[in-house]
Amino acid sequence: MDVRETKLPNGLTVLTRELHHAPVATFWVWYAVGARNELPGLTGVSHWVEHMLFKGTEQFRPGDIFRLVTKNGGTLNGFTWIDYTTYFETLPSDRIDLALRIESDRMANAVFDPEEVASERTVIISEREGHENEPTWRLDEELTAVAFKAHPYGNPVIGWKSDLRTMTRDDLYRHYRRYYAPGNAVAVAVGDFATDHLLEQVEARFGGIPAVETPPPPVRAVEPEQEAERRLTMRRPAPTRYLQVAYHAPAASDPDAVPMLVLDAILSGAKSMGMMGGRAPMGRSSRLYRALVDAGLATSARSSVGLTRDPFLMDVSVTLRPGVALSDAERVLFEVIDDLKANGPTDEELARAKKQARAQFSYGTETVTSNGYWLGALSIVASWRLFGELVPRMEAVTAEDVRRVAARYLTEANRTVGWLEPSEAQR
Amino acid sequence: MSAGSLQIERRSLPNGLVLLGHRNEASAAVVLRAMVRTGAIFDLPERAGTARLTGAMLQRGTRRHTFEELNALTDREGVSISVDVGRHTTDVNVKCLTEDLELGIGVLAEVVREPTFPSDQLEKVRGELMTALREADQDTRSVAERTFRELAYPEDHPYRRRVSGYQETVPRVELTDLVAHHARTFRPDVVAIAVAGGVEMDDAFDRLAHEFGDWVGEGEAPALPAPPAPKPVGVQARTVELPGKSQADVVLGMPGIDRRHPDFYALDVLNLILGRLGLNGRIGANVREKQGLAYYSFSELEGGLGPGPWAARAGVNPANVERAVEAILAELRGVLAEPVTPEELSDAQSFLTGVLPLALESNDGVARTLLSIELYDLGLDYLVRYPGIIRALTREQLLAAGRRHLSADSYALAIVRPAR
Repeated sequence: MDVRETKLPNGLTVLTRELHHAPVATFWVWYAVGARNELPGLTGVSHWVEHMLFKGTEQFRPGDIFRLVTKNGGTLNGFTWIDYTTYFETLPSDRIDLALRIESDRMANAVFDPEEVASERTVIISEREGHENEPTWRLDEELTAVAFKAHPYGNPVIGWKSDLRTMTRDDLYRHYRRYYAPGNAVAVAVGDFATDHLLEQVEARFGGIPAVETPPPPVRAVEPEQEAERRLTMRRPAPTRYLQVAYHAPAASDPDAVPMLVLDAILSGAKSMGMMGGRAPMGRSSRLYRALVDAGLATSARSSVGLTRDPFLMDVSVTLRPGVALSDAERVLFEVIDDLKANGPTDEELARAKKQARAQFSYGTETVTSNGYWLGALSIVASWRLFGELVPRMEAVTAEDVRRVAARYLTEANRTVGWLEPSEAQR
Repeated sequence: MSAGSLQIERRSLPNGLVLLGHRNEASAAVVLRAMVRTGAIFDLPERAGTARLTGAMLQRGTRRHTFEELNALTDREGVSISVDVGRHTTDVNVKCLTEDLELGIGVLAEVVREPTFPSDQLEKVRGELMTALREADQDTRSVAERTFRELAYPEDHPYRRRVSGYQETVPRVELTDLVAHHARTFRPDVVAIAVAGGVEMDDAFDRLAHEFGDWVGEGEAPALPAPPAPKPVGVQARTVELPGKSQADVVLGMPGIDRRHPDFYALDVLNLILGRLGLNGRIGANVREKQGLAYYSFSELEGGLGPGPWAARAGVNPANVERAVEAILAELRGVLAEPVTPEELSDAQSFLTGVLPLALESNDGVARTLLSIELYDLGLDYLVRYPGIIRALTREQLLAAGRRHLSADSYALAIVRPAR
């Protein structure tokens, strides 16, 4: 893949890829900080810092960043995940320098005005309360917390509500100063530009940001191997029953990570890789769909596994048809999994999963924005080179590889099982 | 590709079906999107959900393949099919790699033309929809939307009804209703198919003509109703409570205007300034940025072929509902009291004209744009004319359009709160 990697003297890694199919370009800055770096009492700090980076810097007053990018015909956003915090602008390519101006300024000069911090506190609590309205979000939050006892991946990215109520401006600012350093960041540009010229612009905008001598503290926590199944039953108002099962899964850098992606595709179809509406549902011939949905037990049954820096989770979420017992759906799910562990996939299933993955990769990487996303995300969790290697490596996976990773990770002792039972009146 | 230079191919077949296409040489994939001008507008009130169920049944068995065979065939090649049912349109979207163009076109044709509506599949689809409706009826945003429609549109107006139907109506829909809806309203003279991606348009059009050319519609296509909707009289407000929730959701608005109305562009740009541009316009600046009341607060003008609503929406802590509603109304009053600032208008104009290349970057984006051009009869030169249309708008036109179609005194207000 024609990606160029450049390192500035202050430690900033810059990835560039020219794509000339349309007169647009995207620019991202990725910081290697997210929920995995957060300590008790300060959960949600990375996400809140992300919000504050739209609330004023030396050059831009609150509201300016959104206003300037949209008036230039661009789109923008920021988001926070367990491994990273990232910001991007996608613009007509002749205006991409605006993105460089914004991102270089807020890498070092965000102001964290106390009044803005106060007004953002209620916005973030509102964001959390919007999620709390969804029963499946609550189940997922509870399940993830139970699945981890040592590693911070058990904490929600948005943070526990008590932390959101008590966090101070100085907590936020300290986190910003500690992690927003050129050496802890990756800038990614993809689109209709000439690389040499773009790199000159990056150097001009970012080169003057001083390197930070003390690197951010490493995350030392290692989740111990799970030795016994964990279970939880949540009872609350809900329209139907939901089942979620999560297994500890390997990190993106582990050789087993790619076979896990193939396993996921065999369970419920290859997943969309698109950003900005590139959805492409498939997988109705998959094992979970046939055993649970087509059989009338559920209206949806989906597995998912991500590429993460430390070992995270592969999970299966099932929405049950009203009247179906959780124990019945769970038994069928485990039968599907046990069969894969014993016998592996058929050759035809394996071929189907690979073709789906190739198709999803193609559908999902049409836009410059999506390319910027994948290069950046993969550079944080493993290496950007995985972007070009993903499909070939999936194509090299054998049926035995799939059987082996299923047998290794999808075990009883390695799983956390969550049931959501609607409160009495609503079953 | 510059914004205005999207090369659009268009071909009409003798049976009235229209083909539209744009080639994106860089793409290894292709989107085939068929828009059928039929939808929930034809639903009988007591059988609301008929069009939605019909859409879901298109993939559940055809004259060429059973549901299982179709799934095996599409999953084997990574072909994705999805169906979106609206009030006036039913879109069937097929995505495949360019090497599978022939398969993709075949699948599109059988799904659109030849569904067999097997009865065992109907019960599966109905069960899935009923579960989804139960979920919607306990979801604060969905209930706010449903309540808003009931307040904003009169008793017998089709826009009052939910496209997906209700737990009370979906069980009443019979197989014969679906078969009749398909036979009567799926016909070549109401279909346009957009092709976007890395294929030769002549070749794709020839293959599509081969699959769709012998399709004949009997008699005249049924007219698409789009009855006008009167504005609410005074404030029509209702609060609904749901158990187990943390946040309240609010929808405030009124019937708006047709996409083809002469005021559409002015009202759309006014709405952009009011509730979309930047971090959701003046409403976002007040409700979220200034007062910190909500994570989301924005406004939207639906457009479409009938009086789709203009509405502002926000999710807020239950203690802040009144403040948020007051802030939305204050901003609405503001844009109806005096013209927007010259800077706001110029920002909005630059956004709409500047963002075109982004909207046209993906195959999905191109296919949707081509179908909009066809649906609203905008002309193949629309993308060239569009910047001129937008730049010609004046602040006074925006104000006049706002005053003609919006009101801060007469509106519908739906609030869904956590049960105390």
